[in-house]
Amino acid sequence: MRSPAGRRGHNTDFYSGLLLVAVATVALLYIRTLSVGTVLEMGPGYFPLGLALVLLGMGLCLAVKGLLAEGNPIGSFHLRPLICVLLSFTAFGVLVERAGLIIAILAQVAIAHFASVETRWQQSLVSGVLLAAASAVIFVWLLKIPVDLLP
Amino acid sequence: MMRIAAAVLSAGMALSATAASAQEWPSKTIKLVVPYAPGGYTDSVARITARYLEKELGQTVIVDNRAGGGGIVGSDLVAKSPGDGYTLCICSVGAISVAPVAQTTSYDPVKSFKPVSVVSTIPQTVIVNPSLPINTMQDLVAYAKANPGKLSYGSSGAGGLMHYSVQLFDARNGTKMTHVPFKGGSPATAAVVSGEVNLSFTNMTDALPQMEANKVRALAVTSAKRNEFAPQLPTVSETVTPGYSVESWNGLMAPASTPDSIIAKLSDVLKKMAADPEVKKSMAVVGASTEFTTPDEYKAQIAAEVEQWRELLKEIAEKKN
Amino acid sequence: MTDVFAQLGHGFAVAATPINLFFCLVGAIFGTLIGVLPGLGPVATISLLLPATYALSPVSAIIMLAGIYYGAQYGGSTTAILVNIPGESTSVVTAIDGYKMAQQGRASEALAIAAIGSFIAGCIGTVVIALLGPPLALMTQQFASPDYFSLMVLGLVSAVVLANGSAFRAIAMIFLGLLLGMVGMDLNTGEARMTFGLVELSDGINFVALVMGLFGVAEVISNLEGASVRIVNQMRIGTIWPSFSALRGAWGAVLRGTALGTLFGILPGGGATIASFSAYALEKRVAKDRSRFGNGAIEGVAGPESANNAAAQTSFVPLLTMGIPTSATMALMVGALTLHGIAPGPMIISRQPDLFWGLIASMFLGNAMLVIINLPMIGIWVRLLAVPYRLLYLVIVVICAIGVYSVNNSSFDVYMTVGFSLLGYVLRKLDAEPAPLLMGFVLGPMVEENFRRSLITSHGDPMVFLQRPISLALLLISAALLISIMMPAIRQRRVEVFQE
Repeated sequence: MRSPAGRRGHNTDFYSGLLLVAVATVALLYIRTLSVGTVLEMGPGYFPLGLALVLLGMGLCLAVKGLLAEGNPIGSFHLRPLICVLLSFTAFGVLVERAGLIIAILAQVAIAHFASVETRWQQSLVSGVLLAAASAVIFVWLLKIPVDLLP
Repeated sequence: MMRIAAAVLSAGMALSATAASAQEWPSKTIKLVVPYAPGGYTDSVARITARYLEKELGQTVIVDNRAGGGGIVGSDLVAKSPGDGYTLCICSVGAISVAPVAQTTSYDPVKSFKPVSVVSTIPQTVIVNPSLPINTMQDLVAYAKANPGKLSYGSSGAGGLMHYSVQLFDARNGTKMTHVPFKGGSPATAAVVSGEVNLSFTNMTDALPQMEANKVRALAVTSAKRNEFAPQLPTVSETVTPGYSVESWNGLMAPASTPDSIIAKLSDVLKKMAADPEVKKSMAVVGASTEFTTPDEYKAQIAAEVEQWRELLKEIAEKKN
Repeated sequence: MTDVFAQLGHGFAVAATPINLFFCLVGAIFGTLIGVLPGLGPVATISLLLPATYALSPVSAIIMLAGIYYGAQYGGSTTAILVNIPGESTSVVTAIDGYKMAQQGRASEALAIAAIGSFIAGCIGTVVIALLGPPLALMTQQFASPDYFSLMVLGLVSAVVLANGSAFRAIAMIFLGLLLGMVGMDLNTGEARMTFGLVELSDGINFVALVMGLFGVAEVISNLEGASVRIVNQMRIGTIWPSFSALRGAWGAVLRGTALGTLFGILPGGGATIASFSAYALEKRVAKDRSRFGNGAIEGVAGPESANNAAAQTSFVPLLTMGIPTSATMALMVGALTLHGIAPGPMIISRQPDLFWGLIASMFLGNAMLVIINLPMIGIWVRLLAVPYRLLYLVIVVICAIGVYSVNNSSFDVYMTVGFSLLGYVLRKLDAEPAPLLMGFVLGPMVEENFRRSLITSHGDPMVFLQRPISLALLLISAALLISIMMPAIRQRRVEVFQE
């Protein structure tokens, strides 16, 4: 399974390690202000600090392993579906309480449409309208979730 | 297609109605926010209230559970909502009178809301595991003094009423008991039943069924007066700690910018509700007593409570140093 | 014993009245619906539908609400298998092998074993409640914080078994999950931890947002990568009807899963989740060929699905025998009963025999209805895979968004999903498995809570974990399991050394 792309420093181990180190570092920054306490009287920071330190250690181990040995290559990132799908969720979140469920769904579908190159706008439009109608019936009318349909 | 057309039409009508004056309130669905998870005691009170408001106001009232942070998240949401009378809150003592003192909240318990009325009150019950040689409040104080730090009490979480009511008790009696927090009042009560903790100042809703089955021994209620559901129980005040009074309340509150005409209308409805036999019966199952206060009385009560907890916390902080 | 059967007979007389049968069916249908829709879980649904039950008798109401709850367990596996979106923590492990089976054109087989396994587990679980409810409830009273802590440790060790790749990386993922689980208010002091000053995070990260991001949305994004790749071809439909000979190999898994689920379901908190994870771990340990797991092993669906449905039934035991709710859903059942004028408590069996035995009898009937509803639905679900992915993914993203939103009616949760989708996508590219992370996330807060509480109640004596027999036994099992995971790796390394 080893390919040239998985060479030292450019493999899943190295970048996984880096990711864990980054998360642990951010956590440690925020844990800093919490009191740690002792084993007998643990403060709110005791558990998070321990976990973050273990995570930091494991991350460093993985990163070093990735630097010293070859590993599996990392997959390639495709920005178009990533950005479009994430944006579509953001749009839904922004609009659902301000403009109502129907507009939020239409906006989400409109943005998500561009995530794939295979979509056709007529089909997406019909799907969007059907989804909005079906959601209105299922979620609002049948399951009674407390959300406005329109502004 | 008909359904969509109908939805569009009714939404359009709702839109034009919002513009109308508060005189015609309520003209659309009212959202009653409950800052706690569904199924709890506040949730039950809110649903009973919603049912009554719906009947009296002729508009749909939906219960919207916004749990989080011991009631802070939902209360905060209501404080920031538009004061149009369509977002109301069944708030509770924990998030309104205790939390703003004990931690930082972005709302002010007195300034951010317009209180309408207390809807129901419920005392806490002092319950102990029956295997303990404690039969009265006097026994409890004596035992706690003889064994400092040995008695443990369960609470619904740090900073909640179940925690602070024991803190207040400790401060007044010079006792020291060990705090064991749980995730909610119900597991804390269960822990008294199983004996994992020795006692708890638990609310009447959770305590009553266990008392009836003799799974726990009840010693007293924390309210100033005896309780109608367990009249045989003395109050903490009449036994060991004169003047001790802790009562949990749920009340209807609105965002501060709500017009007074809407508050007045709501106040009238709640006054009728407090006297309604159906409502009284439903509240009794929860272990709660119905109540009515005027908006002014309610506001004064909150201000007084905030002061009480502020002083207690100061007292505790001084003792620690 | 004859007494129990006489009372159960009475229960059937209550449950089989037309009105109660009708509401049992309504509950089963709603349960299936919300189970299939990811996000919207039984807690949200029951609380939203509660006002609709005010007009009913308490027995009808509780029969319907219970039907929603266990019905959701049937439907919960559907999206996990079809589109890799586990709607609840209990179906996270179902997605591992279930989704693989769907990709291999064996979706109908996976869905069928999930439904049949759930049915068998549901019936056995109900028998256990009827015969052993009260004594089992007394047994749970023996469980104190140290025992729960040790149980959580066992759950975390099982999570290592879940992983298909290296154990080291799986453990790292568990720790990442544990750390994410720490976000929110500290139970013992009320202090906010790692909330970045956001009040929305004070109760921790929303599980549904996490799971949808890591699994569902990340899956959608990576399916959309290849412009020319025909995703439809990857999602082969296979046969509409499962061959029952294919299901035969899963009987053992169904029974083992049922046993674990029945036992763990009675315990508060993460009982059902631990049951489904440990059922998967158990299947993987007892299997002759472990490499099949993660590549579409039917036992990997049968075991956990049976476990979670058995747990759904037996989680009623503490509520019905002692009036103590052990989960958010059960707390809601208490609320529902109180609104109908019944305060649940230890006396409920003697005071409300109609309710207790009627509910139990309705569980048999409800499970039968559910399997009858669900088996024919398999054909429909499988045909759904024939819908071109360019349309299907639009449906998936919209349903995910509404699902996440509806849990707390919170836009913030939708934004969190965006963040976790990004994390899920990155983890995917790094070959990191999200299932152990989720297990860490679910168990983390409970591990900490019980550990700290144990030390408070034991006045700081850490030996408490070894002195209590239940805790000791669970820790020994965990240690044995951990050694058995490490052994092959050690042995293999030794072989490599010798070869060199």
